Amino acid sequence: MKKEPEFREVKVGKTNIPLKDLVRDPSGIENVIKEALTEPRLGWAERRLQQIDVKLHFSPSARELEEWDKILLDRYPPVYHPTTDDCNMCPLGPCNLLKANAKGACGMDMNTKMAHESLTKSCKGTSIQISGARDLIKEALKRFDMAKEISHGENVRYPSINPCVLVGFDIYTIADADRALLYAEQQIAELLASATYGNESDVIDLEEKAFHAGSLFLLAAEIAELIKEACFGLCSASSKNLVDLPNFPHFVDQGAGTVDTTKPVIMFAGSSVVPGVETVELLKSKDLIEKIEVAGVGAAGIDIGRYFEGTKNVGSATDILKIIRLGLPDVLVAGEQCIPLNILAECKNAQIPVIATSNKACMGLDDRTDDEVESIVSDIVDKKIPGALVIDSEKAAAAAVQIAQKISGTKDVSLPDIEKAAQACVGCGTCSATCPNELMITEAMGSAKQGNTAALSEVYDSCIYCGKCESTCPGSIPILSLIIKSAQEKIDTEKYKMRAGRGTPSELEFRDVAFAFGFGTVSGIVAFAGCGANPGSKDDVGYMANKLIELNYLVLSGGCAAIDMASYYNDFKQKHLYEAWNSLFQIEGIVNCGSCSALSHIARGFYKYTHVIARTPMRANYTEQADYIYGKLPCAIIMWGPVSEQMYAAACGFARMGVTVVMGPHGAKFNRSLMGNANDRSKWWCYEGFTGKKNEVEPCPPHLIVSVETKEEALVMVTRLLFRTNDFRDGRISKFDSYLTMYEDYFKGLPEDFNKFVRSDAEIPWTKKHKLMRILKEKYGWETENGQLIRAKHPDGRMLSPEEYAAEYGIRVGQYSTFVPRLILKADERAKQEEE
Amino acid sequence: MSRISFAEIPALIKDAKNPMIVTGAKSNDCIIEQAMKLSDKLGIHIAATGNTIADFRGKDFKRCSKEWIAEVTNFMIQPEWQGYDGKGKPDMIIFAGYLSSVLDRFLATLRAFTSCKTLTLDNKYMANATFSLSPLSLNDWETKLKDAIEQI
Repeated sequence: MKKEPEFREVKVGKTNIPLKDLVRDPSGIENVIKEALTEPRLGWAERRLQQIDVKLHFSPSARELEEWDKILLDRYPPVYHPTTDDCNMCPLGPCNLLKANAKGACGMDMNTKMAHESLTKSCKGTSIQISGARDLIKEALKRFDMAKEISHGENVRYPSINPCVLVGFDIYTIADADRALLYAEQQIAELLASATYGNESDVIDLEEKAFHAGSLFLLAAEIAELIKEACFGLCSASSKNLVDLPNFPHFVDQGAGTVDTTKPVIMFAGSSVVPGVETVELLKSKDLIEKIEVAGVGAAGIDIGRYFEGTKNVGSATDILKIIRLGLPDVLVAGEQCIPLNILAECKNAQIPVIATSNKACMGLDDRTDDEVESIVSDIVDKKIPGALVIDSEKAAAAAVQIAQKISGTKDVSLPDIEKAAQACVGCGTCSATCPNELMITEAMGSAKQGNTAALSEVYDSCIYCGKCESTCPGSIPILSLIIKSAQEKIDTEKYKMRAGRGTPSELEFRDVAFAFGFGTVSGIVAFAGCGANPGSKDDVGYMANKLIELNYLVLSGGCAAIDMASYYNDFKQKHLYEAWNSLFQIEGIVNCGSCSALSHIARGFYKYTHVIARTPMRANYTEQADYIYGKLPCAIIMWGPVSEQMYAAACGFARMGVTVVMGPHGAKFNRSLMGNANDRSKWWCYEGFTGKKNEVEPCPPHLIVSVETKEEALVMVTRLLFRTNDFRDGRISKFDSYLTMYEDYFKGLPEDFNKFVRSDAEIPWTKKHKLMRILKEKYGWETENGQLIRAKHPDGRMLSPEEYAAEYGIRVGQYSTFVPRLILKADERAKQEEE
Repeated sequence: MSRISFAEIPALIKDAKNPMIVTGAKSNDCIIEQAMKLSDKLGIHIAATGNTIADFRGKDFKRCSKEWIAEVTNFMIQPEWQGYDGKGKPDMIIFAGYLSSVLDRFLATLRAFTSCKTLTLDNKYMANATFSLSPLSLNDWETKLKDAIEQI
């Protein structure tokens, strides 16, 4: 028997709102609902509660948000790239699923199998963030109690948006964070259970759950950021005033050439922020901070750089083998995620001891957590053990400092002689054939055999240091080492300045730009995420970011992409990217939010828009938030070199919010895209929010998650994906201009689909108007005269006057619109408004 | 699926009722030239993905359009799609100019969800293609490719 509710109604203004109308089951959460409705700053207006059919979802399961997920997945059904012909998920397998209509013993078909893989991948990616956030809470509780107040900073109006839209309460203390994370932990277990044999069987249900895991990724990531900022001192822009932001935060040195190897070098890899912070504090307390190098690769490099200005950020996570082969570290402190499985063997070869600090990546090392630091250090320095597992940040830091001091200067490792090693090459071509980017390694090895290393050095420019060439070489030639050695001079000059991560775009900045989208001053927001696993990724990501900044896009970055872009050189300004532009979330700015968990700050920014512009309440109100973002906010993510499951989960989380995602070529290896079909007119519709009329609309954005082949394609695609159904006129002009200009620059012509985005001739950029009007007339059969639209051709073939066309195609500019039937104004409310 | 020799290419292409050429970001001059030649011979459309449309337009070649590899694949699995030239859904796609590990993903989709045959002209074997060549030296590959197209 359920207990009696504490109360059944909440009074908002003069209206009594029955709780059972808002949520499926209010038992036990009556007070949470009440607070969500009546919270003075972020609660509900009485009028809005009357206008629409409000449904709130507190700590929802995936199923409770299917109303929104189904809208997206109907428009953008998954396109799968099967990994195998057979299903081996249960003991009845293998079942061949390749033939048309083939089903396995359990009824599984190929799409369902791939949907299972999609959900599993999304859960795995999210589990990293959830368990990482849990570890951070545990670390925080060693220093503070549950009542410790946590926030992004004093200028924050919306305390914890990603958790708040799901769980329905804000996070003010560690206890709140613990409660929200517990929800995520319960959910991820449920989602993973759904992906097991004998449970979920429907493709769309499975993909809804993959979305849900993505939302949990962003929730957990924001909790991780809150703890890092509030408990471990990572810098946050929300603690600063607006006038301080153009040059906030500090720069850190970036690049392999920045490390001073005459000093002992402690290198942090993976997610190991707490040991990093402890090490810095220890070095400061012992007055060693100037005498020992603190360096980081991947997430650790970004996070520790947010804490300590002297951190050397040596590269993105994919650079780690290069760093090891170069022998830069004297000790490697490894956390979790994005560390190659062969790192211990690599470190052994390079005589670099490893301190593993995560339960999730023990590397086969002995657990020495309970031992004295001196004992761990002596065993490692005496080479009795290659490293140790130390699940204690303070102890790991103390051991790392001592080991670095003792090992420094004793390593006797050098890269092999190129010409000599290359003599073993028989030119079989295996290296080039297995290189994920098909670099011309074989030819370069041929030249190296003759003593010419220039071609190998060119390979270095596009190499992602995966070592696949080497592991497949039948002659066991250390090809990666040769590539690295050929570029030694270049590596010495890899010295750049990177703006340290700064957490969330501040409320003050966001308010400044929120209306700029409508006025067309800003064409959209593009955020870069993902890893450097693409040939030439460093230059590519920097090139794209720079190009978008020059075209007045707001540009954000997070994760290893933020590192990769640091080396891009702006020829006009004669500065590298982060020095060329200020660090504001404004036009001509580039904001590095931080490591992968800082992707939650990017999501925060998108949610804030809905509240600043439309006052859309956030608590447990996911659907309305996403509906608004998808229909109105021009925002997209570029994941140029996606590698890990984390990025898969992040892509799911952003896509569910209505944020479009462009992936680099290797994004196809995630084996699922969410693609729209612009030719299927039945898929492109939207409700006029006041009348409920279902209008045919432009196919925009055309896709939700899509991969492209080149950086030029990525730029054009991203401008195309920023079109939104509810664009204002000036915003649409600005987007059109960017899309057409970029397309013409790169593809030497005009896009074939531009007519589909024309709602009125007033939205065509002036500089291109005559040309486009002529094409509309000659190619698409529109009626125009002297550059003015007389009659437009509706997709159904009817010729309509501009007024009729505007009424029948697209949403009228400035009109409230929605994709969710219950968010249409109720008929009696509409009548009231008309009377007024 | 099946490794073929260059000598088999002319017959395979001639057997197709409605083939389409798709060129990718890794296309070199040879691929662009041979794609145009093949298109001229058979009067078939080139879907130029990556940045290759700029190459075709630079040579004033008209029977082509800027497309995206992900969209090509997506259209192919739509039952009602009639091809970029409106002549019906292609029964064979001739691919050239791709990173093999990337194209292989799209080939896997076509293999699993369509009845369309796929032929890759690149200098590497792709397991999910219906027909694919074995790797050769770059010079040999170019010479043999030109010969094969010449014979059509």
